[in-house]
Amino acid sequence: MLSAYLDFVRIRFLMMLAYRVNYYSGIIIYAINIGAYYFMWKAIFGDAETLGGFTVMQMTTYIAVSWMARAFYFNNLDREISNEIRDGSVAVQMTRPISYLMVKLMQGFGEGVFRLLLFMVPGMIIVKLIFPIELPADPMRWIVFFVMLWFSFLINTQLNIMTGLFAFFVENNQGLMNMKRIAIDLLSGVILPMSFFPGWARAVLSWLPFQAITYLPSSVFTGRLNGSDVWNAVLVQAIWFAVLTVPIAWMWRAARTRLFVQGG
Amino acid sequence: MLAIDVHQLRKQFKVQKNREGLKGAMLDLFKREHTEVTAVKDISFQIPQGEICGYIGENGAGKSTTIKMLTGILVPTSGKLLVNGFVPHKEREKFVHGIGVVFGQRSQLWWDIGVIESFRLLRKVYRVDEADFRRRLDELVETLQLQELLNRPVRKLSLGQRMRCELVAALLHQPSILFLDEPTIGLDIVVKTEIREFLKKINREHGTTILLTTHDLQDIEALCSRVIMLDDGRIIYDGGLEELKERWGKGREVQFQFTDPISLDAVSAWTAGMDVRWTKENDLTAKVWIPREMNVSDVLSRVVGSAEISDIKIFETNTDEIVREIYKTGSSEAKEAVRA
Repeated sequence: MLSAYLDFVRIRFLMMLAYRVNYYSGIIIYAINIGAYYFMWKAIFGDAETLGGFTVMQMTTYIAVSWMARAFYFNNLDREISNEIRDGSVAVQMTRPISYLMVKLMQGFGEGVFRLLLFMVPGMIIVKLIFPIELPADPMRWIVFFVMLWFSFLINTQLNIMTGLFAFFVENNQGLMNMKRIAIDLLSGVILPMSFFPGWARAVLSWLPFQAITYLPSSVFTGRLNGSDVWNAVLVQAIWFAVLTVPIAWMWRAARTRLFVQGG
Repeated sequence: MLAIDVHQLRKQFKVQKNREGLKGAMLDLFKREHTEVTAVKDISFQIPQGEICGYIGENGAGKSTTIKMLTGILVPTSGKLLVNGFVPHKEREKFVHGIGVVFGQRSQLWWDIGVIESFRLLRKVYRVDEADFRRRLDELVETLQLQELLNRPVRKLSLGQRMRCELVAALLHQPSILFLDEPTIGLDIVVKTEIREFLKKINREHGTTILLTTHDLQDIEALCSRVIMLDDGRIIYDGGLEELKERWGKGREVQFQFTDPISLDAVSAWTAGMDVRWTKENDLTAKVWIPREMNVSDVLSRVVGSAEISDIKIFETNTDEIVREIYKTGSSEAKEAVRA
């Protein structure tokens, strides 16, 4: 059974490789993004030593790491799922002795692994050469970061799955998907680290799952969180992962008992 | 043993009324307005193992919904359902090992990878033993002549080629029941015939039970010993194909080719007093419809005596027309006919 799921990872990986043009354009887009944010933050910092508790060096590292992490956890499963629901092909997949959502998760993982190896690693090396960033020396920090990155992927994928599954309930969830995408980029800390939000907003955000996607792992990696705060961050991620399985399970069940599979 | 046992099966859908825009969509998330639609209305039927059964009906009659319940995709609203000894939606993952499904309008193969890759993946998904898989694949590939297609990506296959691959994909794990939802849709006559022959072979050699929905009644004529006809969520006919023809086949049609131009009035006048109906095809050709209880030769003799004829063709009402007639008259009348 596991070997079947792993095959889904492998096949998605090969598929990504087959569409190379997407891959090349992706590298360029990420490079432009990191560059743009680097120069923007440099201008904002001006002569200031620190801003929102970040030094310029930390900020640059934070941005580079956040974008590289985004390359791993980001996927279009929401769009894929919602398309498959709307064109009815989800029905075909349910005639197989395999869990549809697990298959989707694995496909997303295949995509993530592809970008991690062919995107994040070479990208990080290039970024290290061009921009002044500081990578942690402590191997433990690297290990914890990769564990947290895995949770980032899981939580982001869970949010994607939920958004995608909404296609069962509303006939057009395009708006919702766009909203989710912006919410994740803005509220997870890719565009703006949490510590730059006003106090009340930070209080609200600490109760939402978004920060667990980018802000927490990037903060650990850049050394802004230390000691027991690191383990707290991992714990927050684990809790969100567990909590989010509940609405997904509920939506999946409701879809099969009460709802319409498109195309009669 | 029964392959499929259905008792008072019913499926109701809540179809939501959509409000417009993002705001409407958000409102719909919290408070939706529904109308209730009953797609399948308390149907019952039994299909023994090894039978090929046709499941027909107009678009929207509830065929696909039934198939989706039988294959464990949808959960029925009420009623009893036993397929292969399983309640499909309850033990879905175990149950689907014993069935194969082909939806004519959607592919179950992976679009971007080679056909053989798809088959290998399915082997893992269904946990088929490597040796069994080889043997089965060789057999299927040979019968359907897919050798040269195996390495092509699915998106580069023609519809006919794809459909043959779909059948292989549905049969790799040796299911005892095969569900086909419009398997011949959009195919040319050669491929259609091939697929029909193939299905017959599978049924004969492996005793596979086949339930197929179709709009092509030639599929039914070529394959099925039994037909279940659905209209508006109810079964309006369940029985042999011959019986169906006898019950609803209301007459024959004779086409005349005349040597001289004719008019509709003139030809109608020849058979005055007879309960027949003329239609004119063109200046030289006309068709007459003769009810079953009337003797064809009576009509022929009148026409032959009245004009010079260059050709005559006699058409037995085909299943297409019978079914069209039943669809048109609707369920109420047809139900009485079944009872009668």
